[in-house]
Amino acid sequence: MFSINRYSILAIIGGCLLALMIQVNSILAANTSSLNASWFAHAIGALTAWCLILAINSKPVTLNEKKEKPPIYFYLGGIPGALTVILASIAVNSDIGLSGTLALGLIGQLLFSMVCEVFGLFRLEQKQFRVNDLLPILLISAGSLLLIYTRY
Amino acid sequence: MVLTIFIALLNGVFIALSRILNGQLSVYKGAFKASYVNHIVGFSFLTLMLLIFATPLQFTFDSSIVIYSGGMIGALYVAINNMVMTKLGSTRAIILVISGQMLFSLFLDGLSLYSDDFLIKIIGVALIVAGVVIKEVFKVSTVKKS
Repeated sequence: MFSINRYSILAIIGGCLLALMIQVNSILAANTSSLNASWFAHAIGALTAWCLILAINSKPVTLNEKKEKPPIYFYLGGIPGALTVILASIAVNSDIGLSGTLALGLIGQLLFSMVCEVFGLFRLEQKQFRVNDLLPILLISAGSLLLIYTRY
Repeated sequence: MVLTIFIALLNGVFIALSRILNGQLSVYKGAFKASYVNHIVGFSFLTLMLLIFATPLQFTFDSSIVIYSGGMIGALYVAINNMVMTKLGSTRAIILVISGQMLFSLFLDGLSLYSDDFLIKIIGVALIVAGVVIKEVFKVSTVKKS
């Protein structure tokens, strides 16, 4: 009855890793610059991902991957990811500050994702949103905004 | 002010776009290869940015070598994100990742009982936990269009 999806737990663990990563990268950014820190993070990240592929390939892992070719733009996710480094540093150093940047970034993420799912953009599984779906989203957003504003 | 609000919102849009595209790539290539592609493409793009802005690389070992470990954590994070994105859908994955991120950063800060805003923090945590429980335990879920 009270079963929680194991991927949901994995997502929460992913969020913990993200918090840790931001903490570590922000120390590096404070010592140098955000562009510099992100360059190192991506270089070391690429090396780590490569090692992970080698480690995973040594064991037979059956992933039900699609065999046909993906559209080219699926490869380009790294570009908006890297651009956020520049956008975030512009926003943080403006009048809205770090808390405003984080809060608006969170809202931007959720709205964009919901739009993409409702319209099935980027070949996402199309989902219809009901009023019920908004309740957890609003609760989590409100809680996050409170934490962001007490933190910064 | 309006411009910076737009930039900050766009920042969020780009975060989601990056995660969605990489998640979709992982359907074809697997979570770890997609994470590798994400980092290589991002790395190339940032190298271009460094060249355009003519900023020399700066090394610092003032604090410790540990400050360079963010990339390692990032490679694993992107792979996990790819797995959950394709299994849960983008919005559900994003709200769970945000929940984990918010709660864990509170833990990293060290939740002090004596801080002035302790009550506000507790309310924040309660709201996030309530949202996750309603969504995940009581299965208030989205309807798939058929």
